[in-house]
Amino acid sequence: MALREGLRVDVLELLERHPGAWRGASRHPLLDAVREGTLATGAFETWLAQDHLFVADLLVFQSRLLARAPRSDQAVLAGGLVAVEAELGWFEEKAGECGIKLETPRHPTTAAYRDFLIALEHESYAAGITALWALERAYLEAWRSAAPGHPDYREFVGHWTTPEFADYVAGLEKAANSALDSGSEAERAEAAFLEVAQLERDFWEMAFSASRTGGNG
Amino acid sequence: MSLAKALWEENTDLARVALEHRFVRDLGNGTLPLESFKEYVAQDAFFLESFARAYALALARSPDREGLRDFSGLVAGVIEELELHEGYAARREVELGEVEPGEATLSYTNFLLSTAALGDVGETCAAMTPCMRLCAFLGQTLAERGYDEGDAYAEWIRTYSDPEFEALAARLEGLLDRYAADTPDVRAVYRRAMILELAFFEASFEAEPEDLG
Repeated sequence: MALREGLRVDVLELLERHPGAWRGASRHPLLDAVREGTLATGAFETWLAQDHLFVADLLVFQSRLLARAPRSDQAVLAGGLVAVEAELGWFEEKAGECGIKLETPRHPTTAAYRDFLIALEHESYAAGITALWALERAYLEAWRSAAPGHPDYREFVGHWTTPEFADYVAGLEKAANSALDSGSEAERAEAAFLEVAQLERDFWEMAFSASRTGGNG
Repeated sequence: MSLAKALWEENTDLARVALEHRFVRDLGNGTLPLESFKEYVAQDAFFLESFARAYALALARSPDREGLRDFSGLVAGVIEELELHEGYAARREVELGEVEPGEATLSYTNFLLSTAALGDVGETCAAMTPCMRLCAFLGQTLAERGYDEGDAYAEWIRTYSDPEFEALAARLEGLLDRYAADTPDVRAVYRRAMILELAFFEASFEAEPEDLG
């Protein structure tokens, strides 16, 4: 059942409507292993290097979304841009400290995510902001499920579960809800939500299965 | 000499005209009619919204990390400036949500957005720099001439003569130097923006009270 057009909608309903897809996006054995300290060698490094590529793609997507955002959403999106840019710097700093090589070929899953974000630029603003909310919310929930994290990863888990990040996700939720309130794009927004859920699941799986099969990038 | 500096020097004739413009002159000595200033604030808020969009488009096309960092800082800066405007407007009962953009405003925002959408990052920087550099120049010059905190438009002078605003202008000029080549197109874009700045002041000054929303 799709969201009904013309009715007041709340993006949180999407989580309830698609519990399986959402669980796939926000829970994963990789995250459990980060919590328990049982992660295979190379898995976290693979994930981090691919996520660094993803964050750079996200920055481009988000800046184009800001370019067409209503005035009321400019502040949350611009604040997010600054945070995402700082996140790139943080990745680089941490990778340097841990000796992780960030220069790596784009995994097909990371490439598919980028293609999805590029395609979203041709969709309505409502679909774009809903997707952005969904991917940030999945990230927050996923890392919360790994909290507090094995000592090896505790700093990372803490960094991705801060109250400031949760506030930002709440701000995106508000923006997505107003976009859906004012338009008739609920079905496209729901489709984008589902696609994000699938891509998020694939993204956790990528690093996990690569390490289990012995590869690390 | 850096390209940003060369472009500014090439356009000092227009900067001088702006400084001597009746809108800026009266703003400086506090005699500008309040209706003209309200119109300016309302039109400027509409303009800044587009200015933020143009920064965002430039960010998306930044070829390197420095561009990502500087453009994201600048877009956040302009949103802050816009929020200051909104606070200012609310105190003076200007309804920003109901602003009908004037011809001068639309010419300027259309120019900015089409340059940002179709031009390269360097041209976008050239289109955006005059707004920042000219306002910093006007604010600093008016401040040097002296003003009292009690003057009607002291807040405007204080904002644009502030070292923080100078730093934002310099940051954008740094991006212009990094991404723009010294081409006739870049020079034309920069000068066009200077002319649109002047038209913007002129339109604000000419606003009649009955035209205001």
